Amino acid sequence: MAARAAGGPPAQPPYDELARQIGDAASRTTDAQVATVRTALGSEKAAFEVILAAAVGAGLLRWRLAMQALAEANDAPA
Amino acid sequence: MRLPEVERGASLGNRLLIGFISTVVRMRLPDAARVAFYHKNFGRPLGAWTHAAMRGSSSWTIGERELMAAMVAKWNSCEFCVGAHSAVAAKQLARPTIDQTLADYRAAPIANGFRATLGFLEKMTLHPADLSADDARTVLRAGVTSEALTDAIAVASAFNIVTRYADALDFAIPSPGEFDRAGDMLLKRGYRP
Repeated sequence: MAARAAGGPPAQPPYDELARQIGDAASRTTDAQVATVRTALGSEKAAFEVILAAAVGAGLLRWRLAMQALAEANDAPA
Repeated sequence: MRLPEVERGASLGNRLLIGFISTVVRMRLPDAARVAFYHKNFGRPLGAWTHAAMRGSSSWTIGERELMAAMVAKWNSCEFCVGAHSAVAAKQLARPTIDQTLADYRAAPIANGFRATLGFLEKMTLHPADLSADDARTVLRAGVTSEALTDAIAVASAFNIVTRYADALDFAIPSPGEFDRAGDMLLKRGYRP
């Protein structure tokens, strides 16, 4: 889920759609996307973990790319 | 809240705690706190990261870091986090400055180093794959140290996580008065798990 939300390859349906949505534009997540995952997993805690994992993946991707840009700037100052 | 169990608490202890805190603070406990109570294996490390980024040692003031969080929330269209973090920022910064920064940080009356840093964080949030060493150099040339930019990146990374689960879970939006009271608590207690 974390990799998918960071632009990685598709995950298994129906988790793929929710993870991609959270990575691309979480504010446009729908009730149906969350309900579908909750039903497929059979528990709210598991659906919660999908959501949190996707969010963490998107955040960590940004941490890695931003720190990489800063490291390159420090290695080769203009 | 799209997962009712998160809202009411997963255990009797959690439900009692949510009810107790809501009574003491005389407002509905914000959903951000309910998430932290619901799943401690997520809540503790995320809380520790967020607290270190927002309240740890840094050349950025708490108000500036809260405004960075509100800006990330704005770029991610997260109404809950814009309200929550602009309310905390308003405890330390002038409200007109916060509103002008949220409306257009390029024209707002803020320091050039802060403005350059917000430019980096905007690209990091919206187009992370396009970030380059030149983007970082632009911030460093504005007088921001490498350590300060690292601190800002930590803030923006944390809130690129928080805004996403806040919106995916559809956090309830408190009233302006409730945001203000919650802001007092966040300023005093921080984000400790």
